[in-house]
Amino acid sequence: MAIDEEPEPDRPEPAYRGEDDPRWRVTPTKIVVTIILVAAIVLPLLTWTYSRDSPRLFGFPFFYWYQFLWVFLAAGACYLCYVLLRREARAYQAGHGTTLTPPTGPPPGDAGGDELAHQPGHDQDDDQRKAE
Amino acid sequence: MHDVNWVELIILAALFVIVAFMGIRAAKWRRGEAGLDSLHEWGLGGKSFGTWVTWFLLGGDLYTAYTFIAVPAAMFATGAVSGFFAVPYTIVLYPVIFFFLGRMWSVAHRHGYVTPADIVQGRYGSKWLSLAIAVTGILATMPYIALQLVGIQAVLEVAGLGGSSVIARDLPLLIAFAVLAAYTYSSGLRAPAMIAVVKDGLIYIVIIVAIIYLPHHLGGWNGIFDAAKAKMEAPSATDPTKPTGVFIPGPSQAWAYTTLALGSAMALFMYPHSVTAALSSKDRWTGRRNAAILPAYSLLLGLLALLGFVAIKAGTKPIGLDGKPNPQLVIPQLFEDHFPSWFAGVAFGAIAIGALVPAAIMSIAAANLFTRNIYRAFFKPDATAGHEARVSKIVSLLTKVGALLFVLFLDKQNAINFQLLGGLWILQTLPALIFGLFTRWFHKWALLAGWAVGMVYGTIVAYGYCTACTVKHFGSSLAAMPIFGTTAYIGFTAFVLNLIVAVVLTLILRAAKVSNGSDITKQSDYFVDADTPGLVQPDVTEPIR
Repeated sequence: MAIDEEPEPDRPEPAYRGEDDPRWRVTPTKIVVTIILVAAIVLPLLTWTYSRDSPRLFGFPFFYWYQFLWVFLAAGACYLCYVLLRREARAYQAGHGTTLTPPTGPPPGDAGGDELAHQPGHDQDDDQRKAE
Repeated sequence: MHDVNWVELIILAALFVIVAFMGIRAAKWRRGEAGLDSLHEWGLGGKSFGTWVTWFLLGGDLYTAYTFIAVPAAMFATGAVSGFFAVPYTIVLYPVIFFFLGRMWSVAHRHGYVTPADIVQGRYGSKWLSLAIAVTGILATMPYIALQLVGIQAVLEVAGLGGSSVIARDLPLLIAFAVLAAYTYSSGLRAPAMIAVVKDGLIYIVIIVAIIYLPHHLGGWNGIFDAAKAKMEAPSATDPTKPTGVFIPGPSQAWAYTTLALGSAMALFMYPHSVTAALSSKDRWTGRRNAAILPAYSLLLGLLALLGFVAIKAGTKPIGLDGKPNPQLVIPQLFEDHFPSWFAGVAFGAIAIGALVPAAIMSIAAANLFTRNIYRAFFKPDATAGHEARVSKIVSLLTKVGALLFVLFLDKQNAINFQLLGGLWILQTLPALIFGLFTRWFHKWALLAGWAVGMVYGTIVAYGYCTACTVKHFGSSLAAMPIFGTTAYIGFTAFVLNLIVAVVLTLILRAAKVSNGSDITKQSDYFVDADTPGLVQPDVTEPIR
């Protein structure tokens, strides 16, 4: 089954076909997300900032409880990034529709805009979607 | 020495029966109309898993039974650097994978990819680069499967089964193996997904009870940490000039701790079984949502690691049925000593079933690599989906038999050492697999050369290094970095070399205008979601037009 309406016809060479999907561009959201994630990777690995015994918390040396704290911080960081990227993706979909058009089946909903919100059986995140 | 503990064994056996039944029934779970005759259905569970099933599946897949045995064992024996590094490792894991999970899922979904090597094949159009990724994946996964069986053995040994009698020692393992093989063959990825839900429920209950009850029973965490500190700072039994272990890493060990954690975190999602579980989720965002909720398992792992220190305070004596001390037995022994038999039985069951989940996913993933990237790529390019599924089922059996033979006939230490080596190897596939998701700048031959350099360097250094020669070849994952001289994770050093080679050669090959293969993916492929209209599962070898 082929998809014919692709904006760029497929050329075998060169590898880079001069595509310019806007989602590949660097955006402020992506920069923020990168900074958050890099911080959540680098900070827990700076061993010398926490390789101490005191202060103890509930009997746990600092070295141990600080790393447990980071389990929560890193999870929070990932959640925050998820929300940010999700928001950006939805804004993109609302603005552009999807880049692929179905070769068969019913035509996309009104004006090819926010099809996702109209599609039944899409149970993930319905609550978040409805909120918008 | 030990007597057979019948209560524990009966509970263990009952849990196994439940699991065997569930695993085989799982074939019907969320089944599509086409049955299980494709890798999409058999190998990826029809991509039907939502956030919570994916959470259990990935949790059961990444935090293996062996981890639950080995991390506390390492804490008990040598302390923080070899044991607790697993905590920062699993902390930074999720921010690391967050970067690429979405793109990986999307491109795989768009093109019907099942394995990491499929993704590389599509991006670079190079069978050889893809073969390198596939072979590395299979090699790294085999000892990992073997280790899961080692985990089951540890539990059985404490329950009193083992020793010199071949029947007592090997029969239970063979039964566990038969259960594993049967449900994997019949149900594919659906079986471990379903079993993971039960097993993780048990694991959470067991660990939470243990972590609340034991410290209370032993006089609180202060005393536990003090006992651990005292043990770690005491002179080592084998080499009195050195301390036994590390309570809190000092400046000289900090870099080892950091590179072990970072290198392991980068390596984990290069493993084919992690990729399989990640690709089986039903949409693009499930993986990233899971990055925010999977750390619950990291918390569990951290608490479990501390049970190694609890065992020090409790004076647990992990002595095997052969009469020799074996730190691997410390957690089962701790449960045996301090809890009633029925609870210990549940704990052992959780660990043993916990081994069956990742072992199944690993054998599926290794089999898919073989089918897609070796068998189909080199021998039978026109294989149909049904044919692929049949080959994968058989190969998944063979990989498990291989792992079983490994455990039955070779020293356990070999499985552990090869698993360490496997982690080092699999990390070398990162540039080809992950960088490709973001850029087509790297040259395929440069990536292949970088991979080869990383593999060879890592293997040689790991072979040659022995810590005060108490361990044999491949016994340690730490060695001095060249130039810098600090002790670091060998895999990490090899990765840096890999990267340097890949960058330098890419510059040269691009300057020389050497063809960089054909890319069948489009930029938009990296952003498709399950509900993007017009998607079909196309032939993986053909570009989508």
